[in-house]
Amino acid sequence: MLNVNATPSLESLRAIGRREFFTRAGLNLGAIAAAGMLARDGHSAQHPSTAPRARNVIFLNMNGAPPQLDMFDYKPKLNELHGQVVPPSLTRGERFAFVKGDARLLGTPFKFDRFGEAGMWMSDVVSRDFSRIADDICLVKSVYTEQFNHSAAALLLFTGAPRAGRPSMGAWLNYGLGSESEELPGFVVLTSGRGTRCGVDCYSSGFLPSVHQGVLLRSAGEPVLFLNNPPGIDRNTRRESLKALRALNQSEFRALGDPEIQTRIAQYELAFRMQSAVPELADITREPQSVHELYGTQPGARHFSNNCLLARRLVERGVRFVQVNHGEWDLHGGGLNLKEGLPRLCEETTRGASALVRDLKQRGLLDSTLVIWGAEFGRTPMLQGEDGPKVGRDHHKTFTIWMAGGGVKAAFELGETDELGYRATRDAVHIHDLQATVLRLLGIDHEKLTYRFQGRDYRLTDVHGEVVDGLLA
Amino acid sequence: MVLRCLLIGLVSSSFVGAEETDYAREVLPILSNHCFKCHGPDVQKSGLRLDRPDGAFGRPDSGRIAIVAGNSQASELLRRVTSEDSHERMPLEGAPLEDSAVDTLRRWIDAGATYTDHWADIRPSRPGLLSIQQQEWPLHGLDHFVLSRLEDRGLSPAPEADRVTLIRRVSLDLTGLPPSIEEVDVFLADERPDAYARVVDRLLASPHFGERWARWWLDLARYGDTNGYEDDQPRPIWLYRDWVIATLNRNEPFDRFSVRQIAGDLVETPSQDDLLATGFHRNSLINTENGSALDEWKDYANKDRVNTLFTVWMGATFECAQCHNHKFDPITQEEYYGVYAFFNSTTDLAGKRNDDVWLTDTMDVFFGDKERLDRLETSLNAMHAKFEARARAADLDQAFDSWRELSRAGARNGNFGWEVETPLHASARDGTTLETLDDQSILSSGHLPDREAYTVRFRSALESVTALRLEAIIHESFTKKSLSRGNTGNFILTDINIEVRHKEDSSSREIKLSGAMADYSQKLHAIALAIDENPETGWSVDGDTKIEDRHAVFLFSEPVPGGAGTEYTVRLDFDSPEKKRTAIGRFRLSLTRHDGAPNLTAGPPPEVIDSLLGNQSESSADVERRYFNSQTPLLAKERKGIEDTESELGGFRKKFTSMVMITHEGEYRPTHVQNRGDFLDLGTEVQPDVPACFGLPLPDSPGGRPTRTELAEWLVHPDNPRTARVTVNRIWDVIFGRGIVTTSEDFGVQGALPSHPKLLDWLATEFVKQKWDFKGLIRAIVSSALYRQSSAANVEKRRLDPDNALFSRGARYRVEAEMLRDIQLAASGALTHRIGGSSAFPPQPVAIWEALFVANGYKSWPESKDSDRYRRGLYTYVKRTALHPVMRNFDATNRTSCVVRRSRSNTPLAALTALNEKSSMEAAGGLACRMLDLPDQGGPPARIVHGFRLCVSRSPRDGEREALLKLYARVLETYTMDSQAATRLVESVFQVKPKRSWNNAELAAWIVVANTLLNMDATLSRG
Repeated sequence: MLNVNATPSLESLRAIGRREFFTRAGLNLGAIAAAGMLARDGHSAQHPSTAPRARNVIFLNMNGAPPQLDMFDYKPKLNELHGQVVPPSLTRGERFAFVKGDARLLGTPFKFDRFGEAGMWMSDVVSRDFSRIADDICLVKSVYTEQFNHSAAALLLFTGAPRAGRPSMGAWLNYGLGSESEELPGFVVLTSGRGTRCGVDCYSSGFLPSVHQGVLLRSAGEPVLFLNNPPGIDRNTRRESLKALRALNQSEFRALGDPEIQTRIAQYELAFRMQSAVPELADITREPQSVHELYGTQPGARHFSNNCLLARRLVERGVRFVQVNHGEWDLHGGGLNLKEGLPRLCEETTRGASALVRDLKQRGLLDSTLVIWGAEFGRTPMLQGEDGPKVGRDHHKTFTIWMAGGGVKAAFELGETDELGYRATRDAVHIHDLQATVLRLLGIDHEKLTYRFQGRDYRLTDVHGEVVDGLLA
Repeated sequence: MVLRCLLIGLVSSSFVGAEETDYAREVLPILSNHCFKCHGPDVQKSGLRLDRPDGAFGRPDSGRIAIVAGNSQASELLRRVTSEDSHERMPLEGAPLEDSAVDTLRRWIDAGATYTDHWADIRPSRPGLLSIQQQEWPLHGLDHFVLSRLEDRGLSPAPEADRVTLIRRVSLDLTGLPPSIEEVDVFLADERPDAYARVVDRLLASPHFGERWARWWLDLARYGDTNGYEDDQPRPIWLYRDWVIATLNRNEPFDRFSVRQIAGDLVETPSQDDLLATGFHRNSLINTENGSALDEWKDYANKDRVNTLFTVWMGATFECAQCHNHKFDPITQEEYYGVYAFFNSTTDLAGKRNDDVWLTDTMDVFFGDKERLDRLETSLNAMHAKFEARARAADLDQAFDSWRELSRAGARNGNFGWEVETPLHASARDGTTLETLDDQSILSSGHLPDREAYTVRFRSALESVTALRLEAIIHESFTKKSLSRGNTGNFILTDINIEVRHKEDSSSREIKLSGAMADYSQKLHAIALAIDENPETGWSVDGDTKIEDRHAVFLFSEPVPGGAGTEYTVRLDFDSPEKKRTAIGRFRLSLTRHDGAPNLTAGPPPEVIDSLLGNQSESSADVERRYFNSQTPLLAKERKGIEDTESELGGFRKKFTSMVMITHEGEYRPTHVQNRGDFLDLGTEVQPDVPACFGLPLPDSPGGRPTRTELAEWLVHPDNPRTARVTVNRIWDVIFGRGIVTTSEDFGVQGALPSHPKLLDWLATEFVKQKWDFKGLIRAIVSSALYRQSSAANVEKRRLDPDNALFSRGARYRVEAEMLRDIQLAASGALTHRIGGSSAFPPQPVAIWEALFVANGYKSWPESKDSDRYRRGLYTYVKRTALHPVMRNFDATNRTSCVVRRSRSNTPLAALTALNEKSSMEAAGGLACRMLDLPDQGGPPARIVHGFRLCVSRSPRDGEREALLKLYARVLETYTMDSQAATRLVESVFQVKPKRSWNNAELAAWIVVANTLLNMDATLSRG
C-alpha cells in the first residue's frame, strides 16, 4: 500500500491534479467558474473581459420561425401591394426553400397598433400580452441569417455554424463562466410543442467537455434522464449503496492515489443531492396562485407557460442558460397556416413569455437575466401556395427578435427593413453579431472565448461577429 | 496561472540538454504563437513574412531587415520584441515574449538563423536507442526512450503491475472486454516465462480485437446509422462497420487498409470488400430537409471528406485553408481545393430524395450473399411458373366461366355488389385538408406533410359485411395528375385499421383482416405489406409511371353483423420511412356483403368492365382471364407464394445494401478555388494535387489526371513524413490515454511538440519497416516494461509527473462509453458475442426519439429483444441527432464529424446513468444471479468475492469486502421487511424471469450489491 493520506484535503488534491479535478468535475461549484478556464492542454478560456451586465440567459426559442410581418414589423405598403408579384429587384439571385422569384406579396391579415413609450408596433395577435412588456423589451427588426433551412439555421443560431458538431451557446457560457448552482446543471433545456429541428445538436456541448451539455428537463416521466432510482430502490437504500460505494472508492484511492477517484466520489454525492433538488425545482405546484395566473400555467401538462415559470425558477437557482423551445411555427400554409395557426401559437406562448419578463422584473431578476425571444429565421413577405383562408409564408432570412433585461435597452427598437419588409435597411444584425452581443452582456469578449479542438481555436462566433453597441443600455 | 507556468515549464524542459537551438522544436513554436498570425503564410503585414528565410532575411516595407543571420543585435526582430515602447513592441497584441523565448531567438539568430522545416514535415529517421542506467528494466526497444527521460529527471519507473491488473488492462486494451475469471486464474497459474506473451497472442487473435479497435476507427470515420440534420433518416452502411472489424481482425497492413478506404472502387475489378471499404467517405452527413439546396450540402460533404482525410492520416488542420491560406502551416487555399478536386468527381449524393435527379445514379450496392439472392430469384421464377400452370387447369376454366357470368351482371349495374359509403367525418393527423366530393370520394389539399394518416368515419346499414374496398382515384390537381400530391404521384399505404361499432355497442372494436388483394401492386410493395405487422412497409402502385385508378379489397376474417346505425372508422397510414409525402390524394371507401369469393373482386378496372359489357375486341377474354387470375381465391396460394418471396427478396436486398463511393468512367467535374470558402463564389480552376509543404510529390498516375488512388498512395508512401507518426501516436494515445504528441489530431506548427520525439520516430519507422503491421505495433507496445508498470503513485510522484507525461507509471483512466457497457454486460453474463450485423437497440428511455421534430425511419426506438439486447456498445444504433443518452453521458461522439480524441468527463449525470439506467440495472440483475448461483457453503462473503472479481478481476480487499457485506446485510433487512419493494425491484430488472427462483428479498439485496459493484471507480476504469 502506498503512503498517501487516507482522505486528502482539497488542498492536496489541488496540488496533485487540480487541472484534472476541475475540468472533469461535474456540476460546477461557484469556484469552478475558474475551472472552465482551465481547459485541457493549457488552452484556456479567457477571463471575462468586460464588466458583465447579465448573469443568466433565458432563450425563448420559437422554432420553425414566426412571421415577423404579422407580429412586429408593420408594413402598410405590403398590404397595399397585396397580391402583386414581388419586385424582381428584391429576389434576383436569392435562394428560397420553396417559393420562386415570381411569388406574390401577402399583406398581413392582422391589425397593427402602437404600444408603450417607444410606440412599438405590434399586431393584435401578440399585443394582448406583449403590449404589457413593451416598455421592457428591445425589439430588433433587422436580424438576418444566410441559412434558409431549419436545421442549418437553428444550428447557426445556437452554435455559430450551420453544420452539426459545435458547442451550443449555453455550453459556451458554462464553459466560460461556470455554473452558479451546486445541484443543478448550468445549461437546461425545456421543450413544449414539437421538438427542435436539429435534435440535441441545438443544445450540445460539441467538442467542449460534456459537462457543459444542455440537460433536457422533461415535463413527463423523470425530469432529468436517469434521475429516479429504479423501482424498489428508495432513497434510504440508495444512501446505503452510495455509502458502500464511497468506502470502496476510498479504498481504491488509498491503493492507487489517483485523484480522479476523489472526483468520482464527489460526483456520486452530487448526483444524490440532485435527486432531491431537481424534483423540488420541477414542482411548480407550490407556486402561489397569483403566479399561476400570471403565467397561465397548466400544471402537469407539457405547456410553454409552465416552462417559462420553470425558467424563472432555474435562474433563481443559478442556472446559467435556459433554452425554452416551442414549436411548431413553420407556417407555410395549408394545415399550418397564418390565419388559424398564428393566433393559436400566440395563444400558446405570448402569455407565458410576457409573464416571465414581468415576473423577473418584479423580483429584481430582470437586470441580471437576459431574456431573448427569437427563432432561426423569419418568414417571407410573399405568400406560399394559394391565397385564401389557408395562406402561409416561406422561410425568410431577415426577421425580428426581442430581448429584455440583462443590460439591453428597454422600450427601444433597433433596425429597420425596407417598405416590404424584405431586407434590413438600417442596423442589420447578423446572427454572429447577436451572439457576440449576448456574450458581451455576460462580460465575455466573443473573440477571446475560444477552445482549441483538433488544432483550431474555435469560438461561438466562428470568425465573425461584432457587438451591437446600439442594443446596450 | 501557476498551472500554466508549470505546463510551459514541462514543455520547454523537454529539450533541456539540446546543445544547438533547434529551429523546428524551439524557435518555430515561438514564431508561430506570436508572429505568424500577422507575418505568416496567410497575412504579411508590412510586407514581412517570418515563416520562410527569404521573407525574414529580405527587406520588408519598413526597410529594416527582421533577421540578420549571425547578428541578433542588427536584427529588427530582436529590437521589436524587446522594445519598451508599447507602440513598437511586438507582438502588438498580447503579452510580451518571455525572457527565455527572447533568449532562444537571440541564440538562434546568432548561430546563423538556420531555418528547417517543421519537425513533423521532415521524414522521420530511425534513431538509435538512448543510453540508460537501469539496463535490466527494458523489455522492448521502446522502453529505452522512456527510461532515458525518466533517468534524466531523476525518476524511476513504477514497479510492474500485479498479474490480475495486467491481464485486465491488456484484455480491455486489446479486445475491449474484461477477462473472465477463468482467464485470470489460468494466467495466475501459468508459471512459464512467456505467460504474458501468450495472453497477448490470444487476445490479438481474438475476433473481439477487431471490435475494440473498430470502435476507435469509427470515431475517425464518423460512422453513424443515420443521415444527420433535420430528417436524420436511416442510412444503410453498417456493412462498412463490419468491414472495418473484419479487416482489423485479419490484420490487413495499415497502408492497404487506408488505400482501400480512400480509393477501393478505383482498382481494376473492385471486390465487394474494396467497395465496402469506400464507405469511409460515405459517412458524411446528408441534408434531406425539404427545400434544401443540394449543391450546398454536397459541397459541405466534400469539404468534410477533405478535412477528415487530412485529420486522420496527416494530423493536419486542413480545414483552416478552406476560406484563406492557413494562418500557421504553409498550406495555401489553392492547395486545399487541389485536394477537394480529388473528391469532386465522385458520383455521390449529397441528398437522396424522390425528386432528386441524382437518384438515378444510385450508389447503393448489394453486398449480401449473392447465392442466396440467386436462390430467391430462382424460387420467385418457379413460383411464377407454378402460378401459370395452375391457372391453366380445368377447374379454373370452370370457375372463370361462372365468375364471368356473375360479373357481367355486376358490370351492368355498375357496382359489383359494393355499397359506396358516405363519409360522416374525415380527418388527417398531420394537417392535410380533406373534403368530400360529390361521388363520395375524399380529396386532399392544403398542407402537404411528409407523413400522414387519414381517419374516416361512416355509417352503413349493410348486414353481414365481408370486406372493405379502398379506391385510389387520380385527380387533375395532383403531381403528374396521378394518385398522390407528393412529387412522384405515387402513394404507399403502410397500414390500415378498421373499427366497427354496432348500434348497441359502447365502444368500437377492431375488425380482424384475413387478407387483402389489389388490382395492381408495385414490385416489392404487395398489398399484403399494408396489413402485415411491420408499420413501415406498404402497398404501392407505381403511381409515378402508371397513372390509373387503383383499388384494394380488405377481407374481414369473419363477417361483421352490421345493420342500421353501425358505424365504421377506417384509418389509413402513410408512414413510409423511405419516401415522403406518399399519402393517397383521393380515395373512396365501399363495403360489401358478398361472400362468393370471385364476386369479391374489387370491381374490375375499366378495360375489364368494357370487356364484360362486350364493348371490346376478341382479345378481351385475355384481359378478363388475367384479371380473374389476380383475384380468384383458387389461385390465392400461388399468389401468396409469389408475394412472400418478393417480400423476402426485397427485404434481403435492402438489408445487405450499403453506401459506397464511385467515380464514373470519364466523368470529371472541374474544381475552382472558393473565395472565402463560399461554393457560390468561384475563383481560379485548380487541378487535383497535394500540398507542397510535406515535401513529397504525388506518385505518377497511369491514367493522366491523378485520382484518389494516387492521393491514397501518397498518404501511405514510406516517405510521407506524417502518416506513420500520426498513426502510431494515435494508437499510443488510445492505450496510454495520452499521445506522445498530446494533440494527436494536430501535428502542425500549432500542435504540441512530442514529449519523446525519438520514441515517436522510432515507432514510426518501425511501423513502416514492419510493413504497417497494425497488430505487430500494438504487440510491441503492450509488451514493453513501460506498459506493464503499475498505475499506483504517491503524492510525490504525482507532483513530479502530474499528467504522466513522462510515462512514469501505468496509465489509468475511465473507460469509454462503449467499453463501459461491455464491462457491465460481461459481468452480468448476458453479453452477446456475435460479431457484426445491423445495429442494435438496447433499452433507451421513451421520448428521446419521440421528442425530435422528425424521426423518420423509426417513430420510436425499436427496443431489441433477446440476444440483440445485449450486444456490445459498438453496435448501439447511432442516430446522429439523438445519440443514445448513455453514450452521450459518457462522452461518445455523435459522429457528425471526425473526432480524434473524446473528452473524458466525470459528471453527476454519468453517475446517475450508471446507477439507474435500465441496461445498467439489467446488468446488475444478471450479476446478482451469477453471485447467487454459487454453491451455498461460502455464504455471502464468497458471493461478494465472486461478484467483485466479475467486475474488476481482482478479489476485494478486506475493508471492501466488509463494506459490501454490511451493505448486503442492511439492504436484505430492508427488503425482508418490505417485500413489495423487493418485488418491484426484481420485476423491473428482469426481462425474462431468472431460471432459478430465489427469495425475492435476497435477490433484491444482491441486485443492490451488484449495482454498487458495477459503479465502483475500479469497474469504470482501466488501470
